[in-house]
Amino acid sequence: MATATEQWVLVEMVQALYEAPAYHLILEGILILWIIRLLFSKTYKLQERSDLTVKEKEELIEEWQPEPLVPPVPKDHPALNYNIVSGPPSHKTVREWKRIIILVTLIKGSSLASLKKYGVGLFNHLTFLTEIDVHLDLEERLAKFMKTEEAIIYSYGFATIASAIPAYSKRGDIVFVDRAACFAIQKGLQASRSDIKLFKHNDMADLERLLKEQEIEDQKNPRKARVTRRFIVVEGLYMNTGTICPLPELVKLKYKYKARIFLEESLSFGVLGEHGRGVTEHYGINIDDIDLISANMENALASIGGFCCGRSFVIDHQRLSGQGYCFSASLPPLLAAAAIEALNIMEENPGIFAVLKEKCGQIHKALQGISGLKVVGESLSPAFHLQLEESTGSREQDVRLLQEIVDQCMNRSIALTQARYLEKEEKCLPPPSIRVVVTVEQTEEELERAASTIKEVAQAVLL
Amino acid sequence: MNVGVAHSEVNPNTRVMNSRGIWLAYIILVGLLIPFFSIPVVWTLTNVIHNLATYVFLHTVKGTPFETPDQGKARLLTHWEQLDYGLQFTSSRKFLSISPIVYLLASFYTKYDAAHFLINTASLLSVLLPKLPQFHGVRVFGINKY
Repeated sequence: MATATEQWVLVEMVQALYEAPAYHLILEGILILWIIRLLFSKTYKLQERSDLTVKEKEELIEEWQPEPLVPPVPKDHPALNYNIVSGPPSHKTVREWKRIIILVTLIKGSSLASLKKYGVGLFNHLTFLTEIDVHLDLEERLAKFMKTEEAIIYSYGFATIASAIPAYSKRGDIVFVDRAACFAIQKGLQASRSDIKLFKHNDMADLERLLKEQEIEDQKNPRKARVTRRFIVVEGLYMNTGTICPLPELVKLKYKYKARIFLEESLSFGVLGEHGRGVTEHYGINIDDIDLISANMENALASIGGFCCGRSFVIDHQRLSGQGYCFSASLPPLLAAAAIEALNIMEENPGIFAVLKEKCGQIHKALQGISGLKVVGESLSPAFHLQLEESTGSREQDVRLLQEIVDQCMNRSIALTQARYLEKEEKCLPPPSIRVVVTVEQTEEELERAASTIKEVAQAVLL
Repeated sequence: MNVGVAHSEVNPNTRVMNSRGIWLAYIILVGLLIPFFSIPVVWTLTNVIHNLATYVFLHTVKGTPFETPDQGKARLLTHWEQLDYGLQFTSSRKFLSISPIVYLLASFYTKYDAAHFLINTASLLSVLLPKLPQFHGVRVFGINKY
């Protein structure tokens, strides 16, 4: 029965084939030809149009001269003349290091204990395989200290913000960043492949202008605006200028123009605020208003590495997307233990922050009025710059002058350093300067002595 | 690359259609739709549904369902444009272009009815045109651009 119906249907089909309309058969013929063309077409890349002939390519290859492996370097390159620190670091030996190298000597006890327990480092290429209780402990402590939901530890301070930014901001997103942002932020922005809009340093009017322009663009193309993410990246205390960002206005702008704020608190963590919680405490802003806080542990916590803290929703994303977290071994446990110890010290004596503020004010006042050098930075910033009041015209000349001052101060046993930049790589190269950092352990007499030495040397060199 | 294999592929979407056994799976999936009754309507319906499904999955849905380490290069690209990183006329692209045509050629079963012909051809065109290299990245009337 089934075969009979099938055969009947087949006969009908064959009959229909004989009566097929011409256009249909023509189309089928065209399609068969199309199939044959497809089968025989070669694979090619879409934009592969090289405008050079083979001969031209050969010529170019012959002309090419390799650059020397070691480029010629002037003799006074800073990398060739460096100072050596011998002995345990303390505020007496290395003046330019940050506030709590001191704390390393105080933390020696607990560091030694964890060195005996865990060894020096955990070598592996993924953090998941090397994170142990010390790191988790440090993350919890940091989250509790900063009063956020979660924190994540990176093993290298530079990589912290340089991995945090590209984890959230991708191609097609827009980032508004300050011109004086530090090099780590610049590298993070470069890695993120987003559109970068620079605004003048600490100039909220300029930022608002850029945000307004962006808003007009968004209204022209609402579909595109719906898939674009907007970020504002600022530092709490700028490394390059020693100034504090105006956070209250930033938060207002954030809510008005719907952007997210990433705050980089490397210098302000453990310095500003009543308990050292950074610029949010300094201004009394709710920490939930800031979407991500990222900081170096290399400044205030006398350890290596960095951390990011914020809401769990935000920080958890970095556990798989933060390239510096995922694809790098974790912090050596003794450094994590040192950081925990430093946190303990910060929590137990909250009075040190007020002392630091006083000392900063003192040294600022003492260094004013040097003819030829001007102090760049706020009076409550422990890191500030001494720049030449009038530049000689060429950067090398300025650098050499400042180096003279530094060398002479070194001879009088005050260690200073110039702020170093990768001149070709920085987006907005700051003028050459001597960076001075104050720590809480220096006594007032020492500060006075240092200030007067710098004054004398500067007057001798610059006049 | 196969499922569950460790790979260093930046965007696995580009290699999905090159995986072992996926062409066979595709053929079987379409074959499951082949009507058991040789009625022209069902045949046209299958053709249209298959073409609609390929249009949606290959030419409408953009980006990747997972995060890629290239900072979102393929966020605005459809799966067809992502195949083999934009290399044209690779074997999986040829396979996917030829299969709807083969299907239409078997319209022997529709008894060459004019209405069926129109519907089938229109549906075939809607699937063939976006596959041309000239249409790579083209968004007509700004539809589906962002």
